[in-house]
Amino acid sequence: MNDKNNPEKYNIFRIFIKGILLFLILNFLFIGINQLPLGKITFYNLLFPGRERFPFGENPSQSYNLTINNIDAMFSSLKIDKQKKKDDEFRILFVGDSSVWGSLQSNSETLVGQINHLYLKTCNGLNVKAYNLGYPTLSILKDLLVIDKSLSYQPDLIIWLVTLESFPRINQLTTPLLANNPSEAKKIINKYSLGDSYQNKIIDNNYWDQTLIGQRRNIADLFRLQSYGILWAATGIDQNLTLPFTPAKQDFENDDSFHELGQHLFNETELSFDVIEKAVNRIDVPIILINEPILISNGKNSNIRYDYYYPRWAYDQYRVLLKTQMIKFNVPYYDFYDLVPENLFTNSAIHLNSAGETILTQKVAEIINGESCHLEY
Amino acid sequence: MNLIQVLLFLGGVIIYRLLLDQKGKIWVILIACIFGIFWLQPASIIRNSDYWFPFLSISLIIITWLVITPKKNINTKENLISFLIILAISIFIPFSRYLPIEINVTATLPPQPLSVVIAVFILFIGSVLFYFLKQKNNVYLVHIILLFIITFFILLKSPFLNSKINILLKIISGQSIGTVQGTGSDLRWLGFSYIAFRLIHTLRDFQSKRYQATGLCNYFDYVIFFPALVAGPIDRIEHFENEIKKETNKTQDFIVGGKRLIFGLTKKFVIADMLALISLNSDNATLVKSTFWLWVMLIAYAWMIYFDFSGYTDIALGMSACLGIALPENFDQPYSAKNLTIFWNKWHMSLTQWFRSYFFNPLTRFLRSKEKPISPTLIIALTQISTMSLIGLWHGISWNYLYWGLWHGIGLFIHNRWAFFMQKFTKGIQLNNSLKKVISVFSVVFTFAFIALGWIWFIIPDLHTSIMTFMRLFGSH
Repeated sequence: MNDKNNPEKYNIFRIFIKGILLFLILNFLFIGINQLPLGKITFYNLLFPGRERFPFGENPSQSYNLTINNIDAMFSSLKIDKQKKKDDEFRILFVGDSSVWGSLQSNSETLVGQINHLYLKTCNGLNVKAYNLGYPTLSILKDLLVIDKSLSYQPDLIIWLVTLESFPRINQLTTPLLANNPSEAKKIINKYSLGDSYQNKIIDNNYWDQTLIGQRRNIADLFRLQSYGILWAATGIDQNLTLPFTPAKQDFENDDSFHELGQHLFNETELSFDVIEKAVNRIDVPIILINEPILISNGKNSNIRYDYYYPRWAYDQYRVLLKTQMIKFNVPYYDFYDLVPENLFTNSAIHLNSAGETILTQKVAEIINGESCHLEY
Repeated sequence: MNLIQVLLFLGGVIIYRLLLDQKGKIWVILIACIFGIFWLQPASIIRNSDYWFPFLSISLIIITWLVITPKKNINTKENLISFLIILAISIFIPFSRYLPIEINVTATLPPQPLSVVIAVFILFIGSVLFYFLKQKNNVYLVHIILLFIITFFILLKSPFLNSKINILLKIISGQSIGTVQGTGSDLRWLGFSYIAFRLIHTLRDFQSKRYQATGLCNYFDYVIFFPALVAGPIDRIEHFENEIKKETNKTQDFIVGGKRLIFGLTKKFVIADMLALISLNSDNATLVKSTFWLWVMLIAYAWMIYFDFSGYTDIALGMSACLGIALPENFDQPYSAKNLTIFWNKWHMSLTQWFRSYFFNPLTRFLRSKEKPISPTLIIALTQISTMSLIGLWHGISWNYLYWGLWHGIGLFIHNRWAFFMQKFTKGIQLNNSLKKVISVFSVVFTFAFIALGWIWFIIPDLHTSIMTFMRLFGSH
């Protein structure tokens, strides 16, 4: 039967075609919209208070927080994003990994929380106000991205906590935040002239990834981040601290490998010290680098390994190299690797409990007291 | 039903309508329903329960149909074919254990075919014996089946009994009972509530001689009609039969059903799921520090449950509309109600209609017919409070659901008395339009607030936390 003589078939066919066309148009129009900074549209600091630290959470329904790929949304959810700097404020940004972010710590227990609780003043009587810009993945390039984005917050000082695990060059772009934001990664690499060794590892999004369908998860996450703002406002909870955790390992196999490599001398390209060099050369804000405390185990095979992450040969070598490099780059550098006893770590070789954090806080407070006087003008 | 299940069912419906339009409708629905009841049943830690629960549903439906159908109407070719189809599919499903696990009909590996063949054989022999031994007067059998259904209902809905049955079933299936807790969440019988409502409806109508006998295929289609199996609505069998026989226009059905489905999917999978993130629940109720946000979360819950439930209803109505079957409406903008009585005429309408027909009205008639007259006010109080308490307990046999039922029952009674008083008091008083509008808006807001507060009983299982939540909503910390 001819379709035109059968209104039923004709209508269904038309509806189907129109539907498909609209779907395709909407999807490809979204590629254009996707370039807009949708993540900056936020209710944080408007309907509900800004967050004390970046959104991150593996169990959103219990932590009222979630891991999100949209960097704009991450920043716009922070309290500092709309916090106007007061004339008498000395603003310090703390950057680093999960140990700075505060895994298994409430906001008041983190390094930043404890620093703020000390109500430090600079030599000129400015009030020290610290902000937590740590993010729970290990990549020095990810840290640079965070620092670069946070320069608009007018920091007076950046305190950058690092550990060896953040330096292997092969890991820099595999961290989810950079892997899911190739254009942002590219921008940073170009802006800081970090070269092809990074650039070549970027995997661009294809067109499909940028369509409405390809971005559906990210769009849902934007809404979810806003939704969880209500629970953040209502409870002040941004991490589930009630769950039991497995303590960091203290006994190890007889294995001295680091990233599957045996004992060897690190060569220049293996660790990304160049990221710090480029950062301090380009950024006008003073940066202090701290080698963060690690768990130094006394358990089985602890003569071979310090902890789960580090064989002794690799870590000792890294400390020497880092110190040498920081002197070369003229960066104030402090090494606190053995500051905290092993019983004050929680579920990882870099995660401190509240008491451990207090020990670190005292040291960092001394640094702030000392360095801030030189930095004020 | 999750999104994938909805879309697969919908795909099946569209293919059927495009290829066959409405040819063999009752048979296609029968086959889809039997597969559906096994496929939709969620996995459980009790071995093979995802097969045996649907099988029990099927057995219960067959026995109920045999009881309420006159002998002369049973012995037909159509019924025999239906019976054989049902048994054949029930036997076929366990053989899917030999297929790749991804295409198993049941959520976990089905039981050994031999045990199913034995069970089907028992059902077959039982049904045949039942047919031959069937008497004209089946009053006792109706009572026995009603008792069975209500017993099952209590066992499933009571966390304590549920956990005991759990242990028993684990012992029977040779499993370890070490992990059994008293939560009752292990024992999930998909759609049993709605199956029970439909069976009781036909049994009670049979008792009161209002039931019009129908074929096994139609009866099956009615009881486990897959779009309405999980969340209703509860249709009446005579209405369903008329709908299933109706010849409809395919294009019109797709347009009407498609619109409804889009509304339903959006309500359920976008709005309700988003609101669920911020809704009050038993975990976060004690963690909230601010009165304002506690209200926001409570209101979010009120809307979440509405969008979730009415979204499912829209999906059911949309899917059945695509098949050319109009199911009854279940929600009619309930939160726009100006009082609690109107609310219960707009919220889960098919359930309230069911309770009205099979509990409220008979109880009212019974109390009115007492030789020693009972005061009408007392009758209203008794009937409304007991009906709402039962509706509460239908959600689960626990104190919090009873409190929720009492909240609404007492609310309905107070409203009834208030309306009666106001009718007398305002007789002859003319209100201007502005004042009427103000009163109307206030009434809607007040009713919504009462309903939203009532959800606290529903959400929070323990009385202490519920009362604390009430107090914190009104500023006490």
